[in-house]
Amino acid sequence: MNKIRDEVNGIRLSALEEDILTLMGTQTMYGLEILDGLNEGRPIPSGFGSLYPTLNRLEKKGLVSWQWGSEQDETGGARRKYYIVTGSGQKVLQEVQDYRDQLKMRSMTGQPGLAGA
Amino acid sequence: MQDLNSLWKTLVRINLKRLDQVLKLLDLMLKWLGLVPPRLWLKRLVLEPRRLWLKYLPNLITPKSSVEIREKSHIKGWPSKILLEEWRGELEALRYSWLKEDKPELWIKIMTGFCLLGLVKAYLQIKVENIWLPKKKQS
Repeated sequence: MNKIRDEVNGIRLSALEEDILTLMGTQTMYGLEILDGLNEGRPIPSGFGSLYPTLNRLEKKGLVSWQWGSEQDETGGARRKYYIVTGSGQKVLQEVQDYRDQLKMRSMTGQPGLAGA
Repeated sequence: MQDLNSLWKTLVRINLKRLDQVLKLLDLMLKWLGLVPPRLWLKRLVLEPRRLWLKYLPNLITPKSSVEIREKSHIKGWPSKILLEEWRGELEALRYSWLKEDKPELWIKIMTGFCLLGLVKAYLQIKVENIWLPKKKQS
């Protein structure tokens, strides 16, 4: 647990990275599936051009890992990469979501950070 | 008799497609001229009978076979050689779904072009970002 904490310290998430991690949760998903999930109701839809660099960044940060799937007819015999959120990824996401919840609570109670100082 | 039947089906299919195209063109022209297109009238007079027609005579227009769709969804030529396996697979799956939805061929070609541009952008961005990102790569 401490090891994960050390690993996730100092990792920052962009909006799209956070969206992808939130969408994936504990599921294993492939690229097109992630894109479909993201674009449902999204004001500005994302494309392959922004999805793959983001997945690459998440992978390099150690927040996401992948494995090859089997060949399929639908993909013309090509294999798909299946992505899954790692333990570190879930930890970072949890921290960001906790922070968002805190902000929400502050706005609801009308006590923004500096007001009490 | 069978020949006549298939000829009739083909004629109906072509005419319905053409009718849709003409209506779309008319709609665009009226929009361009700043006029409000009489969509409601068009819908009542032409599109609604077509919907009923398709509903009650479902076997008149034969759907494309999945083998034919799969063949068409394959990416040919230089893109198939330079694309990464994962990216090619996803793009072909996307084309497959568009073909299944019976999207126009020109539309599919244009959208595939946009997707290819997006993938080129992704490739360059990944190459540049990997210069400073940690070398943590999964084997």
